[in-house]
Amino acid sequence: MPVGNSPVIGITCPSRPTKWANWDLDAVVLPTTYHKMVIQCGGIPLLIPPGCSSEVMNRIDGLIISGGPDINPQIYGQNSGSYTNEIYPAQDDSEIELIKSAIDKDVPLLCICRGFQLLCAINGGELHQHLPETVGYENHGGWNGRVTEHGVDIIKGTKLEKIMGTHITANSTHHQGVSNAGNLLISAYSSHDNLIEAVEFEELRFCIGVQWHPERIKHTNLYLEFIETARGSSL
Amino acid sequence: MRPLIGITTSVNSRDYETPNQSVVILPENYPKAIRKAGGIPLLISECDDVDELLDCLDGLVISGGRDINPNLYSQTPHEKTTDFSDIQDSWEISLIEGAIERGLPLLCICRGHQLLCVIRGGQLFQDLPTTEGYEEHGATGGNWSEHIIKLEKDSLIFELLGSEIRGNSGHHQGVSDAGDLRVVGKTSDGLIEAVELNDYPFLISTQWHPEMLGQDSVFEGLIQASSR
Repeated sequence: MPVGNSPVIGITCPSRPTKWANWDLDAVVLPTTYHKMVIQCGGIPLLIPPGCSSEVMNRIDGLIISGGPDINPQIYGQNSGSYTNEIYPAQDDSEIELIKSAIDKDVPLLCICRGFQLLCAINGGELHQHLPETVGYENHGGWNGRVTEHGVDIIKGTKLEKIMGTHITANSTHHQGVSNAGNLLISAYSSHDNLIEAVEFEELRFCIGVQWHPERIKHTNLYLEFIETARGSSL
Repeated sequence: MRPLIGITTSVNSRDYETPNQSVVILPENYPKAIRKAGGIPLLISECDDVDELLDCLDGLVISGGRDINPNLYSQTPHEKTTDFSDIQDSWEISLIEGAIERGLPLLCICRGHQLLCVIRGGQLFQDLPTTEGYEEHGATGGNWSEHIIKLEKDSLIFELLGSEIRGNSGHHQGVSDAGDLRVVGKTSDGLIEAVELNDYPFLISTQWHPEMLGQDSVFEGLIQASSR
């Protein structure tokens, strides 16, 4: 178990119209899997709602950009396709500011699913807006609440390979995917259709984006290395 | 540097991304009110070790949410007292107790107000619509209502909001006994709507929801007290 001062890990969250109990309001919502994994790996999770400025970066040791709704296609120079119909510009804006600040300050950064797509989009990359209708990726995996699994091949010599090895099984519950990773290093592809599944900036202490959800399938080693880097000790 | 304010969240089960997922939820008007008042709002979620968490914060908001387990105030559950969470209760009790030990600026709202009173030796009415004298108090069937609340002079809440305000009501439980806290606000039916802790740097506790009513001065007071 980690000892000493635990690193503080910020986790971004979406806000959206939500009904629960006798409430019907815009609410910040995040699956508990993220903060539970951060606690399990020795970090102190603080959830960052949309609209937060990068000033918060002075108070955290590591940043997670979580999964969530589609990003605005204008960010990567496209118009919205027919399946890209629920976008939240306020969340896009604050997460872009946070990602840029994390990269600028070399604060450890872990980008999951939507976060991975946003990381690529703002570093010169592009997205497939709807994999089920994209030639070659029609059978990539589950979306719209359905979860499937597939293999992921990790490229030797990358930081991700040092942490996870050369082959893993990942979960899949997304309908968009990265078509171009811009100036990031691609570190993994899906085994069955070669979709880009992970990227990294080699020169930073820890800047990794993954298409899958490691917090849901006990990929503890990835979170552990992220949080140990945030603590100041790492591989 | 602007103060960092932690706001508690509630865990609920709902269809979100995948069916029947456990999620944390908080109405967005809480972080918006904190940000408008000049603070940095961050949401906090259930954990075992609250000490390290409190060390990160300059101020704390215990937000509204589900009923408290009546065992905590030595009652058995009323038929309308459902969906309580022992994990959330014990986490927030540790937070409130830890915050008071440190003298951390504290704002308790609705469920938070009720929990604070229970911790300080108080008691709750478990269901106002079936409690004599309080049948008309507030929300029934999930609808919100409004009523007048009179605030006591020489209190912090009076300084921030004046002698009389309109409060809202979305609750079916209420504080019947505030323990060792000072009662500083009541509705005309006598329900305890606001309490304070004597000689404490900054503690506001309201049954109503100031974040839904544009009562900015409550949040400005919290941010001012949390600035260091």
